[in-house]
Amino acid sequence: MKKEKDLRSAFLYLLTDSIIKSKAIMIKDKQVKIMIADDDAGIVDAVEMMLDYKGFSVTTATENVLNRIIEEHPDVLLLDIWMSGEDGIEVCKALKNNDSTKTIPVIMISASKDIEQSVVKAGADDFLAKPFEMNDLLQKIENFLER
Amino acid sequence: MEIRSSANKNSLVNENIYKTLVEELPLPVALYIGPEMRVSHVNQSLLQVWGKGEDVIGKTFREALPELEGQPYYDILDNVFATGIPYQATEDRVDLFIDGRMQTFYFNFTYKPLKDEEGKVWGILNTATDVTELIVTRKKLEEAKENTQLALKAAQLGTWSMDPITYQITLDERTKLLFNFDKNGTAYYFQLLNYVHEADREKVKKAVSKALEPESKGTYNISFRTSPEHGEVRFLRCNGKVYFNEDRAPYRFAGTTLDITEDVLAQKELTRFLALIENSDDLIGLTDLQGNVVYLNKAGKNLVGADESNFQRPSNDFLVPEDLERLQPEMTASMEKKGRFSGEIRYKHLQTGEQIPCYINAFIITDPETNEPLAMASVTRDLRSEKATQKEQQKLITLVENSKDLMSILEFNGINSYLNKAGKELLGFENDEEVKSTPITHLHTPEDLEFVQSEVLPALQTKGSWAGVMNVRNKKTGEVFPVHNSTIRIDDPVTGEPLCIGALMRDLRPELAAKQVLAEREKLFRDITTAAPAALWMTDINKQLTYINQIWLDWTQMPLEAQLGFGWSQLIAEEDKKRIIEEFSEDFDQRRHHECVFRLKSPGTERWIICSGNPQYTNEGSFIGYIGTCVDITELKQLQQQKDEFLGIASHELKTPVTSIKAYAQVLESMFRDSGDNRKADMVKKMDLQVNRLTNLIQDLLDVTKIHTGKLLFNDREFVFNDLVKELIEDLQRTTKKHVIIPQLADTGVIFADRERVGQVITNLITNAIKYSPNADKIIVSTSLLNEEIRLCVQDFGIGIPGDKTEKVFEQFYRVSGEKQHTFPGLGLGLYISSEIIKREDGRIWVNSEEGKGSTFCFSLPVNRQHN
Repeated sequence: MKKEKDLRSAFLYLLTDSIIKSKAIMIKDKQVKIMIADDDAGIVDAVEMMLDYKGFSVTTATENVLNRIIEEHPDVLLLDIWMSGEDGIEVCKALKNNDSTKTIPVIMISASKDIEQSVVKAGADDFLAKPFEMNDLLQKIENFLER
Repeated sequence: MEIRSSANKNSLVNENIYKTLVEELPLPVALYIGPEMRVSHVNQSLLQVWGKGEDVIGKTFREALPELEGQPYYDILDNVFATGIPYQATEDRVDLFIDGRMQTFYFNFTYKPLKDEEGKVWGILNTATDVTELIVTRKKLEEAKENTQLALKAAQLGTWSMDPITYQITLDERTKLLFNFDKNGTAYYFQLLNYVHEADREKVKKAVSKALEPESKGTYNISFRTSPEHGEVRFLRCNGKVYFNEDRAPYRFAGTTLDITEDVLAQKELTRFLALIENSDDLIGLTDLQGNVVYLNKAGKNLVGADESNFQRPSNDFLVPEDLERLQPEMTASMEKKGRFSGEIRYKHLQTGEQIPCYINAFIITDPETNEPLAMASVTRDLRSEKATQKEQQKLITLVENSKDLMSILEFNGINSYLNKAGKELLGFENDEEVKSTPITHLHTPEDLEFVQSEVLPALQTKGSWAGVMNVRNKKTGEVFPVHNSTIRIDDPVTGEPLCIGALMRDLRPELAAKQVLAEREKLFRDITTAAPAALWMTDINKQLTYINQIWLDWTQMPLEAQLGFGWSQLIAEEDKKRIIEEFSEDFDQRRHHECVFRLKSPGTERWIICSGNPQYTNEGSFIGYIGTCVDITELKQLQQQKDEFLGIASHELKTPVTSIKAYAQVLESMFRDSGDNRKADMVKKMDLQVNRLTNLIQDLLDVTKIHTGKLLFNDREFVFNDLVKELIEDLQRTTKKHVIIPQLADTGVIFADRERVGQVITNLITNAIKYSPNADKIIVSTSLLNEEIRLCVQDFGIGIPGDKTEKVFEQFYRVSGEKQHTFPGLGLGLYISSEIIKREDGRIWVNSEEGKGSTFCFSLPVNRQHN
């Protein structure tokens, strides 16, 4: 596992990119932390790799999501709506009802296009339907960071 | 005087001689001289005869005897004088005026011409003998003789005579008796007339006057009645004769009287008899022995259109020539042999030519005494009405004979006297003889006979008729089979006596067979309906349920009665009830196919039911209600639901790895791009695009599933339509290098709809346009605003769609058929989803296309949608 991580870092290191530097999450002396909460390891890994590559600090949560959020307090939360075992909508509602977490921007992700309304109702800040374009995700994250 | 001087001298001499002679002769003598017949000498005898004195001497003959004017003697004398031929007469009548009245005398006399030497007549010597006495005596004798003869002849007759001058009448005792004349002594004609019947009096007078005229030759024949005033009325016949003298004056009128009362009465009988003949309905005619018609009664005249003017025509003229020709030998033979002929022959109407069938009875009338033939008579009956009746009867008989049902006449001896053709066939008879020799007991089984005895016959006796089902037996085959029998007792219309029994039977075998077939069919039908897992229902014309089969009753666990009318609707799930009744009513009113799906509640269960029905019409085309079926599709629904759920889960699950793949690909692309390896970056980009295609396919499946489950949700909001179009064109232009997408956008403004779903439709139309026009280089996307509708059209110049397929392209799973199918990949869901979306957004979608030239797909959406 360690080896794999290193390989990836090496891989990342080899690929230097102007975007990373310009978008450098260094803007506030601190790397922007994005939490990905999804039960599907594939998605988590892919998105993590992308965001990492793009210069974000990425953390993932596949269970016990609410506590992890409160603990880690990410700058932006990507929250899957259909997390097995946990209902993303309910997590969202709980987050938004918690003073310490309610300011965290939540982008809900779902394989269904038709849940926009319930998402809005739950207090989510944005919505992305799977499968999404990375550029769209980055755009949305950027929108929150600019505020 | 001078011219005959010498002659005169001689004559004077002679005159004296003659004078002496004349005077001395005892015979009446006279001498007339000269052409003027001057009386020169006349002796006393003649003067006595003439009744004249001597003063006539010297007068001419005409002057001396003027009463002879009108009698022939002047002319005779002139003639003798002129011709010199003497005239001699015997018993000539001469009427002379003597003693103041005209008297008749009879003379033998001569006129002798006296001639001189030259032979010239100078005078006439008239000698005469009065034979009056002789003649009168002789005549009297003759009359007496005649009277006797008359008297002799009139042994039965009365006699009478009348003086035509005095009208004095002499009647014998018998005549008096006949006239009831009771007076004695002299009777007069006018007196006797009173004894003639008043009504006949004038007739008698006329006859008498006529008889007294010489032209009548004195004939007097008359019949008259005596007057009732004087006693018994008699019919008398008087025959008489008037005798005329030389002057054609009647001098005697005598005759006989005959009592013909009996004859007249007999005649009256005859007259009545004749009237009978005259007024007979039959033609009665008489011909003479030559065959000429001498009499035809009224009916006869009517029959042949004749009147008296046609009498004397040959009777054959009244007959149809062909018949005459045919019957003549027979008629002649019969007449000669038997004196009579009878038979049918046709008469011919003289005016119309109509041929009239008749029955003729002709015979010879003979003199009863001498046996000599006198005439021929015929009595003929007009057969027309009889023939017409016969014809009617024949028609009836034909009808009966050819009836498909048995018809028979049963006599009281238990044998059929008549059985029609159908009857003979039904009961197995060969011919009529067989029928007439077979008692009906042979046509029934003992049990049936018992039935006839106990039921049928009593009913016929009391009510006159019986109808019902009974068995009969075919004589030939022995088969016993049921018939419907209608029998009636036929009575004599006059006496009311029963004559026979009429029967009409119908073979019930075909009917029973048909009934059995029907019953079998009904059972089969019932079995089918119960075997089929479908409920069958039926309504009347007022939408009221009138029938529904057991299947439904099993489903609902509710009795039929409670469900009739609209009772069934209480079992429909509340959510569906209103919609179902409305839909049914609407379809019913429009008389169109009805189909609906609903949930049916019954204790403990809920079923999904699909129901369909069609309007029913009679053969004549009148509407009689609906017939339809209901099928339990609960299981199907469940399966469908499972399928949809599965598809939903499957597509959802598919999306997850796809999302990962996309993420990796995009990271990879970014990395290659960042490292400057654009070739690899492009490849990864292509991979990403293929993943997008996969994503779209998955999305389509998901959408269809949602459409099916009613879970396709819409997030309607206002947006600028053209902005969406521009965006999409921009995006899609990137996917093709071959086609230029040309926007032709009119200002369409804002619309209220689900932006993403509408975009999905536009994308679908444009991608299809690209896909199906591989050889074209442009696609035109146009928008317009028309009639409160935004319209978008996507025109391509590709393969197009056949005309009959343009509607089908919006159906689920429709794909371009034939070989091209392989050329154009896809699930065939895109246009279906698009059309569902547009429908849900209250719009319309359609296509205009020409095969080989391209298609134009359009949709329109209403601008003024309610924000609800």
